[in-house]
Amino acid sequence: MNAMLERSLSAFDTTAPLAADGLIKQYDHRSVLRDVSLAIEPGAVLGLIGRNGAGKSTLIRAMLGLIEPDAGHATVWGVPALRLTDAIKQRLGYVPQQPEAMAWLQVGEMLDFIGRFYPRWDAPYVDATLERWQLPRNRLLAKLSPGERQRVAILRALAPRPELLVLDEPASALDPVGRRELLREIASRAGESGTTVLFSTHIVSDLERVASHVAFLHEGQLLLHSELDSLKERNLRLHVPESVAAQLREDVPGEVSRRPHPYGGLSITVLRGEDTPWPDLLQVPGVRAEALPLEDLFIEVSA
Amino acid sequence: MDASLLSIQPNAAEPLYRQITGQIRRLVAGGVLRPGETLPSVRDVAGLHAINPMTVSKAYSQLEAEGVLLRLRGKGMVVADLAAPPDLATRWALIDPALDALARQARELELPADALLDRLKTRLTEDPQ
Amino acid sequence: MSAAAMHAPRWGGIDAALAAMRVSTTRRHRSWMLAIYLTLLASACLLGIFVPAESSRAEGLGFFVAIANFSVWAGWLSRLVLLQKEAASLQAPGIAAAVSRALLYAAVLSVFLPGLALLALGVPAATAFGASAVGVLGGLLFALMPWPAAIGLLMVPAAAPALAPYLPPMGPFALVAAAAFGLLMLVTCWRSVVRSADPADIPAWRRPVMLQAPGGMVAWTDPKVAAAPDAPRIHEGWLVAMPRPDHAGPHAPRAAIDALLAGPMGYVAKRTVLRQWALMAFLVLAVLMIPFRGDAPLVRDALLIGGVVGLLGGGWTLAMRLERQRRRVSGELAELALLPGLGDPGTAAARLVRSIGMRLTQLMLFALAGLLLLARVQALALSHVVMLVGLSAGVSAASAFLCASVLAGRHLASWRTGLIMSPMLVAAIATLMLTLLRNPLPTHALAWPLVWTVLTAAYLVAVRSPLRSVRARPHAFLLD
Repeated sequence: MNAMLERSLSAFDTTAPLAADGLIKQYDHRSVLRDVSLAIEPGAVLGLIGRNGAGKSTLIRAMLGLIEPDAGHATVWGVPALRLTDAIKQRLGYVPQQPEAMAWLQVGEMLDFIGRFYPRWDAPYVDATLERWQLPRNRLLAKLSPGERQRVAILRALAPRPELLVLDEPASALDPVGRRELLREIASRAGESGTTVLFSTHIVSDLERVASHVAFLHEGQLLLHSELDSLKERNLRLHVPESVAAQLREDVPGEVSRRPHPYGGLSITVLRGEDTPWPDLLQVPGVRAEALPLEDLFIEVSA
Repeated sequence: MDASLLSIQPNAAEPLYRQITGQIRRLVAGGVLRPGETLPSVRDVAGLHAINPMTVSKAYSQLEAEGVLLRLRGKGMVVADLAAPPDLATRWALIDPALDALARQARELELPADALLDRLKTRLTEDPQ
Repeated sequence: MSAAAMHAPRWGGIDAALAAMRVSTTRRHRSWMLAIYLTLLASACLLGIFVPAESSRAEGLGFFVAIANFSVWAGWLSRLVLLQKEAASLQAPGIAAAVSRALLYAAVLSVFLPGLALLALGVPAATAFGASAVGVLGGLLFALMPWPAAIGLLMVPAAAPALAPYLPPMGPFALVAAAAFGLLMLVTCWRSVVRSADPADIPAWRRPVMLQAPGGMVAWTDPKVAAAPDAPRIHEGWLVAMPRPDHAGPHAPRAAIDALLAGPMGYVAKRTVLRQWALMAFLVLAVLMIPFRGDAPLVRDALLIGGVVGLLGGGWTLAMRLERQRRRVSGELAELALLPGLGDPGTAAARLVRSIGMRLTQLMLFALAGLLLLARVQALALSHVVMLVGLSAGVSAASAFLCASVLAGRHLASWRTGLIMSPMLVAAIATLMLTLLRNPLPTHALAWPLVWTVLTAAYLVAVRSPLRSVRARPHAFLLD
């Protein structure tokens, strides 16, 4: 942890590594991003979670300037994403979903070629990791399995020792061992070099291991964005018996959703604000409360 | 101490750092971790369990603030030497979470407070088996 | 396309057959195939009406019909066999029956309708129906045979007149024998395709054309199909030479852009260059060796048509590849967008435009050289040669416009593009027909070069608009 304190402060440290403001994007009259605003602090590991088709990949592409949004703008370290400078690109690593670039090259050829563009390319790290992950240097990229392809893309993004790492569903094709390794790599980079990480996934348990912040995207809207630990401490599911439920007139403060119980009564999910106290309903006799695991919380929030 | 002594459950509703602090506290109180013993480094714990080092660091810092751990130059985090038993306030703080849970469960099960206190007193005056 | 996507009509009857035909490929592909088919048939009819009776008229018309049937069967209707294969693996006899019925109807229609049309134009019945049948048979064989044999099949019309003097005279018995042999081959290949469990099991050298890529031959009409992540682009590498970025880097950014854009005439390795030149030399020799005697008009015409189609197709294919690359969200464009060292956005855009421009120029020059070679070998009149040069210039200008539009972010396969390209296409077809007919051009002599000059100039001026859009974009490598 001392490494993080001793890191020399550059101009990049004060501005948000990634920020988006009011992004709107439509494809064929279908809204994929609806007014999404998001900012990541330096050194944070943000897990972007959402169902398939929620717009995670589109959001990531818009934040990196790969596509042009219909409205709103995105910045990387304060610079507009659509006009990134070389200095910024050198500190940015991106792993797309299902990478397929340069499929006709060999693994070694592609890495050598890309390596020429980055001044901080860590060639020994590349060699060591290729060995460790057992990726053959002279195999054509097109002939690799999806898992190996993803690993190569991850290596390509990590090799220039970026200060900002953006991964779009990086673990989707990896087996559990590979996933664990990847998480370990991300976590150590974030923790020791202070790399800011944004990764999108639909595997909640991965997120719970390494993320410091969580954002939940649902049908193009950002429903939640908070620190992970705080989120876990601020949610409760209340089981309200029928007699009490009948007396409830309006929404409980911080209520996210409510469902009827099969045996009568209500099940109300509550997410309180940062400094607000728990609602009084908690003190009513007969009302039981339990904290929700993250996955269940998301299901309730997206209802 | 080996980092594998800690068990991490990312899916639990309890934040990871609290799981770690809780476990270390119990290990210290139970005598498994003796005073002066070095804890595994942040990097080792994070590496073994594939979690964010900042989480581990947060847990260690909190325990240091509570006085359970000490940071020694060159050695890392070390279990604090408790020559004297921890002060009253700290001990109450350690048992408060269990009391909160007990009170909540009693409310949920709609058990009257005085009966509960009687039962508790019985258990406290009994000799531990 | 999948058997499971078919609605469940009554399993008897025409609607099941029509459903099978509908399901076998995308709507866009179907429209294209039908358009091409009808165009070819219409050209045949027009030629039949306007060309006076001469010795090879019947064969020429038959040839057109055969080509029409060949394209529609090879490109579309043979995909019904794929459907049959799926029906067999799904154990759905109803679908299999519907597909068989569809094939029967299609075969009957495509043999009899054009045959009757030819009969009306005065072609003897044997040639009329025989030519249609040969087209159908040829199309099916082309799609179902292992691809080396399919390429060989394409050479048969060219090789036959060359070999004719060396072979014993072909009576009707020989023709029947050849037809029987063809049918036998067809049945064998058909069975092997329907029975094969997994296309990947058949080694690549033996695989039929139809099973090559997931999109098969549908890919060239619809950029979305080819942009699927599993499209095996590795196949292109053998002949078309994917670039090797050995010497590219931030010090040579244009080479880097070239390398990443891929495709023909990129930055290639030496042995692939040798391969390409060897193939080119082989083709040239083949063309030169074919004796162009008066009684083999088919070959003459086929080569000329092929040359012009190649010219038209080259520009279109380049634009299509560009658009496909824009749609591959995890592909090379995303890499280019985030790679440091390619210069500021304006410079990068200029380099991109120049890279595409160089490619297009190389392609067009090759095609023009081919056409000129053909003209020389066939001893065309000077007026025709001038027309061909004008044609090349016009097509090149139009292709430049196409590529610029794609770079500017516009969609290629739209009505708007068709509309803009139509003057060029009409002029090209007219030029081609006039050249094929070998009529000297007394009165129209000056009109054609003028037409082409105007068209070329118009397209070149039109290029400025998309180029302006390219420069106005925030950066040159935006994805769709």
